Formats: sequence, structure tokens, C-alpha cells
Amino acid sequence: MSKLLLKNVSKIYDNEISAVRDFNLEIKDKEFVIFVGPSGCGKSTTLRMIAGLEEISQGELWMDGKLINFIESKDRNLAMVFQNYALYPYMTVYDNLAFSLQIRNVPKKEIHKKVRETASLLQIEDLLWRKPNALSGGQKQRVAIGSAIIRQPNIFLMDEPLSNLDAKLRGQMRVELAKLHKELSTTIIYVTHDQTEAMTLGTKIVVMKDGMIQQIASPKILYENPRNLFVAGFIGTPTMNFIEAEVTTKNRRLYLEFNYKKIKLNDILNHTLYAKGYVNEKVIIGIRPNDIEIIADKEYKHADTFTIYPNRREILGAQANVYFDIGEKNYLVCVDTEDEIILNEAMQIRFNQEKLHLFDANTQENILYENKNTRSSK
Amino acid sequence: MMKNRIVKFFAPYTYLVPSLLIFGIFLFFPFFKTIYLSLYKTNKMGQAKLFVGLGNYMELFQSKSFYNSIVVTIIFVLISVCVSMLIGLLAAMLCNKSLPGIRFFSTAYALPMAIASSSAAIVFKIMLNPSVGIMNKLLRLNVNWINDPKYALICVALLTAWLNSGINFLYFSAGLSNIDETIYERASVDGANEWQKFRRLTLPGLSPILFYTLVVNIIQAFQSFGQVKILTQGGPGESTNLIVYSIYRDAFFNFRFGSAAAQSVLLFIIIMTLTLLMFRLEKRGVSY
Ligand SMILES: Nc1ncnc2c1ncn2[C@@H]1O[C@H](COP(=O)(O)OP(=O)(O)O)[C@@H](O)[C@H]1O
Ligand SMILES: [Mg+2]
Repeated sequence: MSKLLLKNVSKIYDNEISAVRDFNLEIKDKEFVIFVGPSGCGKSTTLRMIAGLEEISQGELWMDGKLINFIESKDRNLAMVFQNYALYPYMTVYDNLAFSLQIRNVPKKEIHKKVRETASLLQIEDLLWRKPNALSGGQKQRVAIGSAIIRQPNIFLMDEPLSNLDAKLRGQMRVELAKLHKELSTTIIYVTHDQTEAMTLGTKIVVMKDGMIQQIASPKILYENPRNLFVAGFIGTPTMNFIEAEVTTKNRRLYLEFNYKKIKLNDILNHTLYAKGYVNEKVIIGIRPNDIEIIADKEYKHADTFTIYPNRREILGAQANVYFDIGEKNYLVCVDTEDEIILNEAMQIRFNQEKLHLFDANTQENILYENKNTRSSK
Repeated sequence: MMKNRIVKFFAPYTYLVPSLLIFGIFLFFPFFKTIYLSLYKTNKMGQAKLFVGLGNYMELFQSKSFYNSIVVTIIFVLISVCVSMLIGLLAAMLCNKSLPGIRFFSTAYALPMAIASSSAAIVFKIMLNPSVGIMNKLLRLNVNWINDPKYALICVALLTAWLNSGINFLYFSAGLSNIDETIYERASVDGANEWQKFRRLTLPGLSPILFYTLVVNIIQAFQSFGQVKILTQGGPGESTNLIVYSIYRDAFFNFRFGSAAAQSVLLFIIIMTLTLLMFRLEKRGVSY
């Protein structure tokens, strides 16, 4: 139930590793914020700096209008769920839950009531007298969450709390966490390396790479309007196809040329690329497997279609993945399982240019980034 | 069939023969010989001459000197065990933090382990010397540490505590490094202060090792000898006449081997009872 502000926060470890760089973020009251990024990108480090477990090398950390860089961890009134749960091994589940209240000298009766409530919320009433080593992963995880929510801390910090669970349990816990956030109506910062988890849970996702924030946005915007190549490739399953191409021109129309293939761009892209000066420049095309159309009519040829030879098909259910090569690289298109695909036989496809992404080959920034923002806000 | 069964029955025991032999010669034989001697009056060569039954024990129970040595021993054990465990624990907790130069300190704390009790006693004797010793110089006192009945026992006990603290330090260090670091981090975030972390996390985490060290320390303290022999010879008066030293004195100065043997048996019974008692308590108090 607190606001948090990180201003130019950096972390440089003793071994000169710069784990977090120039981190700027404002977290509003009752927000559910997710840090996502590949392993080693500095998510835990950032969380630990907020928790006060790691010194902040540079920058400022404000909570509710108070600079808390130098406030000790125990005085920040936070609750954290650790990746390995960090349950107290010598205490029963009951004492694990009660610990933070016991050390605050809350009356025994009240503690008892709170423990019962929390245990019933997380359905661990039967486990109260067990020691942590007699619990399964999912149960430990509930206990860890329980001992965090038993108190009303300013902010919940969760470091990959679901990473040790099997897929099914993770799905269940995800739903419960989202529910919990509603019930507790408090600020949560949640760390994960799993973009699916981030997308399903988050309202505000912070994508990180190499200690730097790449983009802060809602799942929908991240998916539709990634700021750069990294975000585009990291968010969404199956992952986006990337094709290196060159912007060429013929009769004042722009084309994307790659591997002896050539597709004509629509008016909007035509205009944008002209305006931004990408004529005859190298770009990277980004197209999601769902945004590629298959042309049923095999004889059909048009300026924005081209020929591929599908070489593998995986049926997932109603949908199927079809793989094809352009040059040396392998690409993927999602089709309906009903669609008739004959392997190794020529096939026409078209990129849905409404959903096409173009990245600068040098900076890897999304060329259409702002452009699309205005388009979607209309 | 039958033969097979016999072989099967005896085979394990034949494997035990070597160790049984060693135990027999160096442990069981002296042990039973002591019990045997304790029932006799002996000559100066230590040979049993006159069977007196429990006579030696009766004499002991009426001897003021024996009661004195029991009381002195108990005080000595209490002081030396408490202090040595405390030093070991504090040192281990300090060295568990990653500070610069910590390895030097670790070595320093573990060092007493490598020092023979009698050589340490000689060093202490010099340090405690009333006229040239560093102790009086540093404290600007003029105390005759070793020859004053008020201080002698404490000096011996503290020396013993320091000697035993090295091994305690090692045990506790090992125990501490077995405690997961992240539970301390969680406790910090939960709002616990250092004392609460120590009481709720460190102590329970160390409890098996604490218990083990306590038992070993008590047994070791009861058997302290070298430092008394060098530092005080049981004096002044009988103020440091620990039971083991009293046994030694009775046997090899007074040539009362029977009485010495009886004291040994009583010491054995005391240590044995204490150890059993502690193991009974442990079942309740120690969490694994
Ligand atoms: N205690 C530490 N000392 C030195 N380097 C560290 C330490 N903790 C993490 N790092 C480094 O900092 C970077 C970020 O780590 P971390 O925040 O744990 O990443 P994430 O949680 O995103 O996987 C990594 O390169 C890691 O090796
Ligand atoms: Mg991490």
C-alpha cells in the first residue's frame, strides 16, 4: 500500500559487474508490477535493492515521498517471497507464518487468529504443525506467500516464486496470485524470467536486459508495439520471425528485399520509411507467426506475396506450426490444422503488413514504434 | 547347513577382533583393573594387597578433601565450559561474516586447538607472574594470580576455556556455514533485529552442534590435568585440586592406589550419569 520511486538506480557489485544500470521506475499504490527478462539481467538485484538486502550503488529510492536508500531492511516494512522460499527450517509452518508477527510482539491471540485466516486462505490448515522439509514444493510456496501476506506490509516483493513448481501447479498459483492481489489490494512487485507468466499476470511489465530497462508497458502494448528487437523477440509465443532485409525503391514505391524475394509495402509503411529516411537502408523485418497469411490459391501471385517451401509441420491441436527456410534460416508460420499443407511443395504466403514490425539493423530500435502508438491511440 | 549357519554367526565377530583387541588392551583391561584396585589396599608398587570391599569408597565419602575436589571440579567445569563455548560461538559468528582479513582471524581463533595444554600453561604462568607478568602490567594491578586461592581456580578455568575454544570455534563455524543465508535475509525483511535472528534462527540451527560440543566440553573439562599440573599443582591449599589431579596425587605421591582407583571409578560414574542425562534432555530440546 505504498508508492515507490526508483531514480537512476544502479548497482555495481564488488567484482565490477554492473548488474543494474540507470533504472527509472515509478510504482503507484496497489499496482501489480512485473520485472521480466532473461536470467542474469538484474531482476533479483533490483528487487533486493528495494528490499534493502543489497546496497544501492547509485541513484535514489523513494517510498511514499521518503528517501529510503539508507533505511535498514527491517525498518522498510516490506514482505518478500524468495525464490528458494527461505522457510525457517527449524520452525513449524505455524511459526513460519507467525514469525513476523511474533517479533513485533503482537498478542498471541491475534497471531493465532491471523495464522488461521491466512492458512485457510491458502488452504494449508492441515500443514500447520509440519516442518518445512516435510512439505512439497507447492506447499512450501504457499507457506512462503502466507508468511508474506499475514502482515500488511507496504509492498510485496516476489522473486520468481513459481519457478520451482510444475507447469500445472504454476498455472493454478498464477490464478490464485491474481486473485490475491485483488483481495489484498496492495502493491506487488513480481519478478519472473517467464514471459508467459508476466503476460498473464501483469498490468505493468518492466522488460529488462543486461541491467537496463527495455520497455515499460502493458502486455498488449508490449505485444503489439515493442520498442526494440529484444522486446519483440522476448515477448510472445511462438517467437517473432526476424528477417534481415533491405529497403529498395522502384517507381517511388518501396519494397523489402531479402534473399532474392521482394515484397511491396503498403501505403503507410511506404510513407513512414520515406519519412524516416530508410530508403536503401538495411532493416530487420519482424513478423509474428500468426500474422503470416497463407494464400489458398497456389497460382495467385502478387507484389506482396512470395513463395516458400514448407519443410516440417507440428500439430498442436486446432493450430499447427509450419516451418520453412529463407536462405539459411528457419522460420515459422501458424496455420489452422485443417489447412492443407503439402511439405516441400511451393506455397504462397503474405505478411500482414498492418502487423509488420521493422527494426533498424544498427540500433535494433523499432522504426514504427511511435508511429504505431499514435495509430493505436486514435 | 549347520556349518553355514555357524560361519554366518561368527563371521561378523571375527571382523571385530582387531578393534576389540585394541580396546581390550588399552581400555577394558585398565578399566576393570581400576575397579578391582578400588576394592583393595595396595602396597607402594600399586599391587593389591588387602581386600577392603567398599572401604576405599567409605573413606572418600568421609574425606573433606574429596568433597573439596568435587566442588572445585564442578566450579571449574562450569566456568571453563561456559566460557569456552561462548568464546567459540562468538568467534565463529564473527568469522561467519565476510570481512577483509577474516582468514587470519579464523586461524587465530582455531589456534588453541594446536597447543598442548602444558605448554599453554607455561606461557600463562609467565603472563600471570605477579612481578614480570603482562597481566598485572596491563591491568595495572598487583595480584598474585596463581598463588591466591581466590583467583587460582578462575585462572586455570579460563586457561582451559581458551584451550578448548579452538575446537569449539571449528564446530560452530561448520554449524553456522550449514545455515542457509537466505533465511537471515528473509528475517531482515520480516523485520527481525540481530538478537531475534540469533535467538530464533542461529541457536536452533546450531542446537545439534551446540549439544554435541557441550557434551564433549564437559567430559574434556572433567579430565583436565596438564594445565593444573603445570600452573598450580592443585594449590594454593587445595583450591585447584581437581578430581583428576587429586587422583594423580593420591596415586603417584601418596601411593594410595586403592583410593585413587576409587576416585577414578566415581569420576567415571559422574561423567557417565551426566552424559546419559544430557542425551535424555537432548531428545526433547534439540531440533534437527
Ligand atoms: N552477489 C553478487 N556478486 C557479484 N555479482 C552478482 C551478485 N549477484 C548477482 N550478480 C551478477 O549480477 C547480474 C544480475 O544478477 P541477478 O540480479 O541475480 O539476475 P536475475 O535475477 O535477473 O537472474 C548477473 O550477471 C550476476 O552474475
Ligand atoms: Mg534472480
